Amino acid sequence: MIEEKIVGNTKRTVPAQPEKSEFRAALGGNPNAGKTTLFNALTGGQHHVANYPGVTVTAKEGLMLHKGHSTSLIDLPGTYSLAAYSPDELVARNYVLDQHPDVVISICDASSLERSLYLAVQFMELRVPMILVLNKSDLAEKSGHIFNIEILERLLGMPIVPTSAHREEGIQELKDAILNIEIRKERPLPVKVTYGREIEAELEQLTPMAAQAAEHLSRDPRWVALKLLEKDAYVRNRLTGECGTDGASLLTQAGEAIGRIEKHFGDRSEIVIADQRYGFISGACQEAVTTTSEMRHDISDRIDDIVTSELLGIPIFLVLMYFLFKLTFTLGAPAMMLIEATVGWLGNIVSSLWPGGTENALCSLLVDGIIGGVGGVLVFLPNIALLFVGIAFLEDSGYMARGAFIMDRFMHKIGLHGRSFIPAVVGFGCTVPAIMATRALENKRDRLTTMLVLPLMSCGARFPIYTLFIAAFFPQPWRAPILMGIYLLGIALAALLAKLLRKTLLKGDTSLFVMELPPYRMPTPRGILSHTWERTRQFIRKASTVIVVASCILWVLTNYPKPDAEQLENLTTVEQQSVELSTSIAGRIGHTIEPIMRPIGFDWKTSTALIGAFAAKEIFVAQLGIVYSLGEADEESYTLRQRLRENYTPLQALCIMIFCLISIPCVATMATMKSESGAWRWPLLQFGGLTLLAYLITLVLYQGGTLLGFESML
Amino acid sequence: MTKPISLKELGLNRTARVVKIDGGRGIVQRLAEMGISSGTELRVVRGKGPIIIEVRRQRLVIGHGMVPRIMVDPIEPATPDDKPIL
Repeated sequence: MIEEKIVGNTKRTVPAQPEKSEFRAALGGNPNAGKTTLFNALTGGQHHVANYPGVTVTAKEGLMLHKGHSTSLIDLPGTYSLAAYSPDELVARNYVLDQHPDVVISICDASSLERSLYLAVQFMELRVPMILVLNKSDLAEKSGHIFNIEILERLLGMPIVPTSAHREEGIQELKDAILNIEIRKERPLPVKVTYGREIEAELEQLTPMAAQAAEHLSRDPRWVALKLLEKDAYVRNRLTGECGTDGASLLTQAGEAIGRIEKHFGDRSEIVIADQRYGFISGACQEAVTTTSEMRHDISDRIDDIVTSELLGIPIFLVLMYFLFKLTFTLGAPAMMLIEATVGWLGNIVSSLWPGGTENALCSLLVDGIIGGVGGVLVFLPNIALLFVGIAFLEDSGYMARGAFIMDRFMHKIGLHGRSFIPAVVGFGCTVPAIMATRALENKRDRLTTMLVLPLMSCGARFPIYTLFIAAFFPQPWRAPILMGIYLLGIALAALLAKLLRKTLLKGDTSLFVMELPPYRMPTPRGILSHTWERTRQFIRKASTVIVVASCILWVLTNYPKPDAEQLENLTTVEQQSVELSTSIAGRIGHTIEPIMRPIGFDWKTSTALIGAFAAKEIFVAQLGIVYSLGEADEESYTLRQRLRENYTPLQALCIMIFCLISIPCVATMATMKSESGAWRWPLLQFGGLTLLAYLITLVLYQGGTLLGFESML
Repeated sequence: MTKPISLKELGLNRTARVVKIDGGRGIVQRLAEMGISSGTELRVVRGKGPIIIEVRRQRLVIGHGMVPRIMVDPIEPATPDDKPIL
């Protein structure tokens, strides 16, 4: 029986059953090694603990139940090494060193074993009990590798389990292996990694000297000595900061040792140590792995020949992106209508059952405020979810990395590199996880530049605004191209801004990167669902919390204060509504900013709706819904789209969409920017810069468009 | 042993062995964790700007700033058909 319980990042364990143990296993591995799939298979669930703002350590935790024993599983961030360059690497390393998990499960990609073992070797250096997983072993066998598990186990000194998490093979065996270690009293350590005669001689000398400092830092002395020879910045800083004269003299000793090593090898000590690690790995692989074919020339390579070719690479990329949006629209339409009808039906039921109907303030709050507000946003859920399905498919299939390669030439011109493309694509879903995804960029300037322009990647929350206005103002054949155009405008502006930032505030070289191209594979439905759900959930969470609260506040703002009875005398119902709106707080704010907003095509109603957009972009739609459906429950109901068509021109619609695209990053984005960049100046710069840019662009568009007579033509 | 050339000068589909990496600790570490260190055999799969190489039976994109820093020793003799990447 398998049960799973995900607990928060801060808590260690939550008892699910009385017989639970304190046994903890940490999962580490390369980003493309299939770690998440394996984690889900072991814990039996597709749930994730999302990386969310303000959390520095984002280790996901789950519970594995096997043969009556329970084990806590900790999913460490996916990294290629345990150097202290990116925050993720430091988290993985310090988790193992400070939290002392009972066993580290090092997950390797069997189809590129040598590279994967580089991380495993660094786990071995930490001196913890380990299990090695050869994941994707089915793929490896197909491309001609035969593994002698027994020999490899002996050479590395740890149990080894071949798996294929994708096909759910080897999962029971892995659970057995974990349980074996749990039951056994003694916990054998992996073999000691050795680095050749010269380095070993230096380590032998330096290790006893490092003993005292190592104890202070609660680290293994040999590991501290090794890190010193590797010039590890984190260890050096801690020595300088915490160990006083002892630390200083240790650093001097290490410096001398480094000098001797570099003189002997004629190369930098960190290169020599990396080489020695690969020497150790190659030695093990030579004995334990037989390879039948010399080079891989599989389907994956043949796809790459076409997809990354100079001639076809960019067209294929653009066609895929076009279909991503096209499918989203075509498939989303029926589900959208269903939700729209359900929301309308729910509103009618509530108001007809409520004594006094929408004349009653509480009923109006519920129907017009909450049901209308949240419903107006949920209508677009199918489109957003479908977009995420498409993105998940491209990511899981391996295409995204090729997209990054194709985009690199272009990205480089604007001062970003290929890897920034991946957070950018996530940004089309939601800016918050996109900002989190920039953690994979190790250079701080690359990262800041990417984060600052990410809001221009039009997020899912702005999608409702476009679908509403596009569907209201433009005929079917124009819809997909206009939507595409808005997204492309965002991308173009992001490009310009990134280039500007790179030339001014954040100068630096962006072309120093290495990126893996994982082999193509058919995504599994489970994997796609899991990725889609992870992102969609954040959207729903926003709809059910931020948007409910904001809808209520906005309902009050749009309903109070009420106008005097005399003002409403001798007016038709429609005129009365208009007066009521005008006198409300929101209306007054809208009126106040109208003179500023008029030149860019906004009236006081749309200006009012912008106030809500700061809380979350989709509230713009919710608030337009409230503004236009107030007091209408007794009439034949107009849909929001019809009301918009009656009140605005297509040119105004374009300006509204473009202003919403560029201006005012939402509250959640700014909070995430603050926590990830560590300073308020970055989100504030983002807020001010983007809003100013939005104003200038829409000003030119609206005034130019009106002057050229597009107003009447469109 | 022939004189080492940079990866930038190595032609498409040519195989070579890494001799030296010119760069700071960050660059060396990054390349090492992706499988590139001294003695590693690699093959250029696609060139110009960022290039794709095959190394340790995986494919990697190398940013074009990184390319000239990787010094290699070509394994096969150059044929007249081989053109430099740039």
